[in-house]
Amino acid sequence: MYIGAAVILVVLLAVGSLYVAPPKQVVTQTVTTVPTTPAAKIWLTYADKSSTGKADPAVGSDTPAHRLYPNLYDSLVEFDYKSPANVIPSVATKWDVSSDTQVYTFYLRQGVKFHDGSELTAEAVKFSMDRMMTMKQGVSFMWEGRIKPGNTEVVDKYTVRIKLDKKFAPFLGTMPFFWIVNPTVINAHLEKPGPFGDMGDYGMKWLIAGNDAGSGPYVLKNFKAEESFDLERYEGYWKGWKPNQIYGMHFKAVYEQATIRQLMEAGDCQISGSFQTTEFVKWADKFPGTKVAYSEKPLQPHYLTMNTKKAPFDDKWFRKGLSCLFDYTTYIDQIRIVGDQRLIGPMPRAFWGHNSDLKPYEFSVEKAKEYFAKSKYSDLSKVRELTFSYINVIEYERLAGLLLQAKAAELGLKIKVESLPWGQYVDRVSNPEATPDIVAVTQQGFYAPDPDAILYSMWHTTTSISWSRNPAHYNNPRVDELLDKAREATDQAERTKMYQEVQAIVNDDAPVIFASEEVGFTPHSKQLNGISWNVPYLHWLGMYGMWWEGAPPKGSASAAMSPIAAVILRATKQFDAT
Amino acid sequence: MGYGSYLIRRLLYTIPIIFGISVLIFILTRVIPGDPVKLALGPDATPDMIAQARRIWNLDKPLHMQYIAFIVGFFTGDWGISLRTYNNVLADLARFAPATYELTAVAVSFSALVGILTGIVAATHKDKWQDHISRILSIGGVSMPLFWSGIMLQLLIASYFKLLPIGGRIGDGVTPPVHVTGFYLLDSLFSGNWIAFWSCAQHIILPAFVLSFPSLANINRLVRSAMIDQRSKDYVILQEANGMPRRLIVYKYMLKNSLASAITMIALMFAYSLGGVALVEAVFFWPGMGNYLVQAIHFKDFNAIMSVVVLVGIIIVAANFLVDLLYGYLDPRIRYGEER
Repeated sequence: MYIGAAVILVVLLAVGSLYVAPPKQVVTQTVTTVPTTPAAKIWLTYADKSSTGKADPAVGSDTPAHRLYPNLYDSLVEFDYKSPANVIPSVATKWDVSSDTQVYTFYLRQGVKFHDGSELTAEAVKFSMDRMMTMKQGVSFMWEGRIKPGNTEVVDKYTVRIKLDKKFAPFLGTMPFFWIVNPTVINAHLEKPGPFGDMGDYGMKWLIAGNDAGSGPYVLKNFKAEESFDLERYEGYWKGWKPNQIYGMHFKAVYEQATIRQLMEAGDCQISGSFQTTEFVKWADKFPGTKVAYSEKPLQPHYLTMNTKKAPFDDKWFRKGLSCLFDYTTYIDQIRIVGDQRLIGPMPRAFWGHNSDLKPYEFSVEKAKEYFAKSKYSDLSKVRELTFSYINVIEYERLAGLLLQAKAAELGLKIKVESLPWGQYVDRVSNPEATPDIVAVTQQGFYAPDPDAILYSMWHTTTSISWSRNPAHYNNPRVDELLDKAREATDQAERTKMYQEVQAIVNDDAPVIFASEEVGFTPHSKQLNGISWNVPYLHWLGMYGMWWEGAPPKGSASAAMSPIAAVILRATKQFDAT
Repeated sequence: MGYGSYLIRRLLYTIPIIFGISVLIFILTRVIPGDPVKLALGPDATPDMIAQARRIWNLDKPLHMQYIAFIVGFFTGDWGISLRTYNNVLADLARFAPATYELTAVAVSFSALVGILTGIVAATHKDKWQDHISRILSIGGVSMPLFWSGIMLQLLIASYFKLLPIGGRIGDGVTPPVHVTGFYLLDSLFSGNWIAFWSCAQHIILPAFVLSFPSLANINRLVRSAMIDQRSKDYVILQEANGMPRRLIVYKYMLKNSLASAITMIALMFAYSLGGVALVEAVFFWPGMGNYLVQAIHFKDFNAIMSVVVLVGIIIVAANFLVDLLYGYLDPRIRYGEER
């Protein structure tokens, strides 16, 4: 009995000693690592529910990838973060385009240094493009069929020429996604034998393991795959540094929404990604220490696609009817909440060439009935039960399904709402037989706000065959013809006309319900500035443009050290309580 | 015959079990929908890119060749490349596995200690208030979902009272201890790095506490019923009649007889906890195997799934083997019973 009590007392003391805070003393967090310097180095913590990413710039194409590459590497041209984004010089100071628009000559600035101190020259550009198109991964799809290894030539030390095999009007807008790697470093880390002949694995394994061969503002450090990594400032960056710019960033993979919120509330995390629940966004808007950066003009269309290869969706009038059963206003104002706008036709209005003559489908039961009456399947009670699928973690898509289901039920049309794991979705959309009836998708326009970025990958027949963004399996030869011609045409007015016709045809055919123009958002600490959403590929994290105001961020959340610990540490001379 | 041959037989059983696990998981991962190449390359991948990636990752070879390659690789130390992250799976697991085992070991140790103590208290005070409280705690322990109790405790203790960190394995500015075992607590003790030790201790308390609930409840119930069982035995009545001190009877004789089943339960609880550890790792962003496996399953990352499952399978088989071993040792009737 007494032994028991004694044991419990000792345990309590031991545990208690771990968290009782001593009288105010400052314990520097960086005790055993970096010595503190007078001008506080601004280190951010970025916690997000995603992978650490593939650190090889020729390999990644997703959100985690674009958290890394804009910070570790440079490109010939970059986006200016305005809305809509323009392409401005970066490593290339200017460029010439041949009269047939198939040859681009870039003139590089001098003195751009890679992280190992060597200079970035035309040789590096050639090496990087050849590497990208040999490996054929990541964003190489942008240049496939237009650039082969060998199309890039070194004219002189600071001049490089790229030949396109076919005309490609959006070319310059794709170039911010082409990252320049350091040939010396890559060549020193080739693993042979590898899939690329003489070049072995082209250095991929070494880069993926958490190294960088870049010239960008930050260096990759402490890369622990799927756990965390650090980006630390590269002092020799060619653009130079101003006070209050971000010195470094700790990234942590945190997969639980509640945990991210607690970290932000406690000030342990200053920025997070854009896959958050609506409740979290509402909280971040209101919480005193945080705010949410929204994109100025929405760039992503959100569609409820209908499998046009399967009855009853093979009938245009049926699809038009269903388009009138979706309550757009409720969806945008009450389900999305974040400031989406109405999507008119297949392309958001932020892109040039938007067809302002298009008539959007209105939420109206009468109009729906009119359309249904014209279709083959006018007797809705005889139509089979349709399935509305959504990717399983995205709550607002489920609610959109319920919205549609409710209204359809009023007319006797049965719709079932069902969730789909991402893996299953990918499998099923490749095959028109297996593709879900109605599925909610968000389209990503990859490169600069050129209508080709949005319209081609969604509506061209070739993309509906491979695994793609086109679960509607829409095939229209006239649309294909226009899209192909428009991407090679050079006159903007001509291209505008063609894209407007494409939009008109697609709007009329209604292969999808045009649900909304989606707003992108980033929750972040109020003291962090310069977060821009005006880049075509959302989730692009450009830390160089950010800066911090006020007292430096707190740092780690470890509880203050207890007196017992402090005594031991002082005795073993392991820290100074300053 | 006897103990030795009993052990050897038990050991030989483990081989077909592990083999069976590997075949089963191999088939399952390839049957569930989703193509890892398409998932890894993204929606804009062209057919050319997909074919190229398949070639690079040897996914164009027939299934039995892929299986053989996996088995050979498993023994030669090449556990493949993650199709999702393109990282070396063994390198990743060398970090994640010790983290998970450390968490589970601390959790189970805690649950063993507290479970046995509370079980004894409940048994010796049967049907009194101590017993009732213990009953409530045990039923709560097995019924509360780990992620819920995890988030609740995190909110209360880490966010509201700010007593412990919100999550992670070690503080941000603290360098991890020099790698010896991969268990940060042990490694920091070996190198005398007290700062790292305190930081790791603070970080492990909450997740280990949460993870220990279900095990704690089970051990508590088991010890309680075993002890109550013992109370009605003849030797206890004899000892009481002889005037032996109560404490001696309970803690020396009754407990020893009850521990046999309790210890075997503890070994099983280690394996059982590995099932729930993914939830705890997610909530406290503890960089372990659980979360790694969950992400691998989402993306049909064959190599990662196979490696983790086979690794965990080995641990569980080992735990069961240990249970057999201990049980055979502690209760001689078992191994002699084997002969007949």
